[in-house]
Amino acid sequence: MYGLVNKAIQDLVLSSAGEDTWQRIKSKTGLEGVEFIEATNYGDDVTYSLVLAASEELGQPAEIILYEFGRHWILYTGREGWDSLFSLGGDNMKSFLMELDDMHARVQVAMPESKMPQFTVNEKNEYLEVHYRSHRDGLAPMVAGMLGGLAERFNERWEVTHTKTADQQGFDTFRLKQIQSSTGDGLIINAA
Amino acid sequence: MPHEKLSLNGDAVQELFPFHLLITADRNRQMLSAGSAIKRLLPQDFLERSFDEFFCITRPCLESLTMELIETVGNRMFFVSVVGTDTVLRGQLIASNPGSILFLGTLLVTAANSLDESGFSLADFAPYDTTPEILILHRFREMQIKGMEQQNLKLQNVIEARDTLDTYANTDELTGIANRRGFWSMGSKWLQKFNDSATALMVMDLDRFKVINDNFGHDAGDALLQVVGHRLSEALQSDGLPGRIGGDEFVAIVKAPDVTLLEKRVADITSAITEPVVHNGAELTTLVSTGAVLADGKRDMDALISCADLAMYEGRTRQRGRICWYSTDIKRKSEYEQRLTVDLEKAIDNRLLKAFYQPVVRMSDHEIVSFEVLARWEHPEFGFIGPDLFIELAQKAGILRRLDCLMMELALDQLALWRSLGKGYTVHVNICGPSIHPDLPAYVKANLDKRGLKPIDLHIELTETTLLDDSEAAREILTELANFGVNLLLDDFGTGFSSLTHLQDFPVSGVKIDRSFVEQAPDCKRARNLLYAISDIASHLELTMVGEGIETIEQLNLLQQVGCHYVQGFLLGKPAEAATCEQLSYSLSKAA
Repeated sequence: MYGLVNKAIQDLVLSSAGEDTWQRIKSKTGLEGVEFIEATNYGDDVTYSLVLAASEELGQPAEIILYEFGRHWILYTGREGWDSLFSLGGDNMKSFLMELDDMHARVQVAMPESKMPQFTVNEKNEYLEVHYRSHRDGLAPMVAGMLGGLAERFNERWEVTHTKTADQQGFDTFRLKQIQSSTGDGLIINAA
Repeated sequence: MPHEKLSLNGDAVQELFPFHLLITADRNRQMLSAGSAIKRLLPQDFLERSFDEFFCITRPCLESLTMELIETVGNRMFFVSVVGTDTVLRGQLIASNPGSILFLGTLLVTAANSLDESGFSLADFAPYDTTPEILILHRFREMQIKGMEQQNLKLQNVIEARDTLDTYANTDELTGIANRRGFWSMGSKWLQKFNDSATALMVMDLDRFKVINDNFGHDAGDALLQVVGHRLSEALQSDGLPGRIGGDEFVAIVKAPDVTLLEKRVADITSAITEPVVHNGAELTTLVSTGAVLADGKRDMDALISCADLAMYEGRTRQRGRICWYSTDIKRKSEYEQRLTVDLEKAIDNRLLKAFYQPVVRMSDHEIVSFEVLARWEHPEFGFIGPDLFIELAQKAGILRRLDCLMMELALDQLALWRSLGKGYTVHVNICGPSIHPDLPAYVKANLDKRGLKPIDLHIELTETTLLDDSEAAREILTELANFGVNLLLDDFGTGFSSLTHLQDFPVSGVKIDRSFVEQAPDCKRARNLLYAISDIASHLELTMVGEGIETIEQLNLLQQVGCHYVQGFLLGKPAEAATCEQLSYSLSKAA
């Protein structure tokens, strides 16, 4: 994954647990002295090892770390200059979700090394059903966090339920139901 | 032809080309259709209004927009600005039927934030339209550039830190010019770079620097060094490299167009740094002894410094404050001296040096009362080596003390032998500065006791330069010797910097009048008066007077008139081995 991802993890740890914790995490992963460069492609194992080390260091399950990272990702990339592209995705959660796969496809075209996941968004009567497919395993919690981050970004309340896992059917399924548009927590999540 | 069977209806055009425009080809150029994405930029009643009201073709420059012109330039890229906005379209113009012009294109994006606040979204772009990917690439490129800039900054900081550290490591703190390490490093590169002109390496030593430190303080010494460093740097400018490699030792690499000019440059540089320095109202003057060597294409810094150093020392032995150029003679001499030094040390260790004895005669009864022991060395290969040379070598090699000890032991051995033969001689032994160490009194006592000799049998001769270094410590050691009963004589009296002070400060029991006074006295009234003055001083201080260097009868007579107690010199007897030293060359009784 690109260094941007690892820097986002770094940013999350620094903002929530501080420099010392981050250095310990880096030390655990053998990355002392490494300064991630955003535009450089690092192996996926680097990102996975950072998540595992953060989980150990912070005493939280990896799924929680991934979820929090997913939320943080939206905020971080917005701060780091990708906000204009987020805006291209739409000005509300629903329109953004409808363009979600197209956005990922275009990133794949522009940056072929990125190996973007695929999203299929089906509009049902009262909810949106999102199918998430990725060649990378175990990142469904991060997707849930990203959905939460997006809802916060659009200042909307959505209920997200992880209804099926990739183990069950080859792809993860999320059910998203908008609760109301107001300030406050953007996401209510229910795991499968 | 396949393309003749291909036709698109309006809905398809809308679907496929969200940024299209269809206008009439006549001069009115009425708007006939616009893509869904373009429509958001137009008023609702845009249809049949003029294209020129909303758009402007900025590229290429066209005089008119006609079907005929389109047919000639239609395959070029067009830039179409949306009037009143920052939006620009890029695309192609096609002559369409009937009598209309079709623009097919997309948004022109120049940076990642091109579409900020434009209101466009992904849905506005056909799937084949790569405009969003271009935006992503712009952003990615910005990210790459930012990363590179950060890396560059980091590298720059590392380089700056390294350079700063390097500078500190290579710079002499006091003068700001290169220190030893820096001079070696930069000098090597210099010599590699400038090997096509006459280049020399200089070693410059400030003579009497210690005296300036002692007399004016270390602040003055430091000020002098700073000024010398600055002058050296100024004198060399871009044609050389200055350095300070020791306390008062400076070096420089200097180049010139040819050897003749090089010699002049070296002379000018030396001259520039010997100008007096004024510090706190005091004028500090010093001489500079310079050794210089032609680089001549050589790049070995160690070898060149060594050669220049040799030349400097060689020049200094002849006269301080001059420039001496390295030559093969100096090299040969150095190699010879190095060999001698090694052999001298072996000779001392193996007690191969000989003791020669020169008689000291009592003026009152013309009797030999004592002998001054003098070192002699016959080298197995080079023959007789002059004492001036091997004593100097011993001093340089730091083995003078061992030499002094050897001579003292040989002298005391001989004295013990004379005693056993019933002869009441005493011995005069010379010692140098390094020999005046805290162990000296115990050493002397042990050697006297070992041979059954008494302290009064031994006279230790000290030169004034011996007493200059650490005089307080020397005073304590010599006082202990004097208290023990050993006689101390001040040698070469009258020639040192502070003869009278030494008489006051050190427990000497006698003086040896320097030969220079004796030599000139017969023919020079002033010298004679000096002798009388010395005699007066000695008399008042109850010091024994020994006149040395007696070579003529006139000198002998004069010293008798002056009241000298003892005399010594070639007239009376040359230094000789113990077996033959008791024969006087000249009998004082004859003179009487």
